Amino acid sequence: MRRILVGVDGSESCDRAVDLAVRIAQAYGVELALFHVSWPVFVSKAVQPGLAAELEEAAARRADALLAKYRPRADNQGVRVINVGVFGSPSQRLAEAAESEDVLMVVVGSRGRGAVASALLGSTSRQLAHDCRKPVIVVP
Amino acid sequence: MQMILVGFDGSEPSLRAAKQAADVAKKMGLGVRLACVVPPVWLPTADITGSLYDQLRESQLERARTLLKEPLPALKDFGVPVETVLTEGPPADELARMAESPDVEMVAVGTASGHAIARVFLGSVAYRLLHLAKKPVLVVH
Repeated sequence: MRRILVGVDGSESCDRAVDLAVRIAQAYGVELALFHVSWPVFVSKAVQPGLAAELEEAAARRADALLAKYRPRADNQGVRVINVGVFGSPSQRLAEAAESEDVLMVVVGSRGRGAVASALLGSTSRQLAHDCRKPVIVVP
Repeated sequence: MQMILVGFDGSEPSLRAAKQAADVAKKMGLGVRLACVVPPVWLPTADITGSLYDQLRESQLERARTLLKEPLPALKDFGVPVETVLTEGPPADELARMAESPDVEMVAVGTASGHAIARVFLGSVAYRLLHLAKKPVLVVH
């Protein structure tokens, strides 16, 4: 089924991005993919065995909680939702996922929760607008 | 009626942006406002007379008026209301300013992606608009 991708990270602009993505998915009659990307965890096994796995599990739990938080917004509008949680570079993962011919558009918030959250334009949205071959909507 | 503002300069990417905007507008019950922003005439030497400046400016405006008519037949197929606006100023700043109008829902811009060199950087108008705009920006390659 054709779908709209929306990047979720729990930031304020992401909140608005989800709302717009729900409206667009509803207007097109397509499903919405709530897409969360966690940065991979790099911890040497020599430091503390099992720590990397523990941190990854924690990241996956955070992702699940976020996806669960946004899901009702789509459900309330009768928009079918799929949840996607992956590890990697957010802009890269979103751009890759957007390559699927089922994806009509990608929606992201302009400012994420990255290192410099106060920057006017987040690196993820800028990089995605740059790399993605599908239309990208950046929501302030 | 709520509108999608489109930055249109006659280029291929800007035409793709206009068509994408029209598609979204159709689905969402919006209109399309095509805006051609004519950048200020830049005169490298100071000894150019006022009348030449006016001539250059007028020829740019005339060209923009012609450009704005070109995509209309293609947009007609989408069956959404289309209006055109011609303004002068730095394009990204002017688009961001127009986007502040309460009847603008979103701004659409195209960005060059045709060849390797153009792909290295997001078009400067799109890039600056992403920084300035207070409304969602639809970037079309």
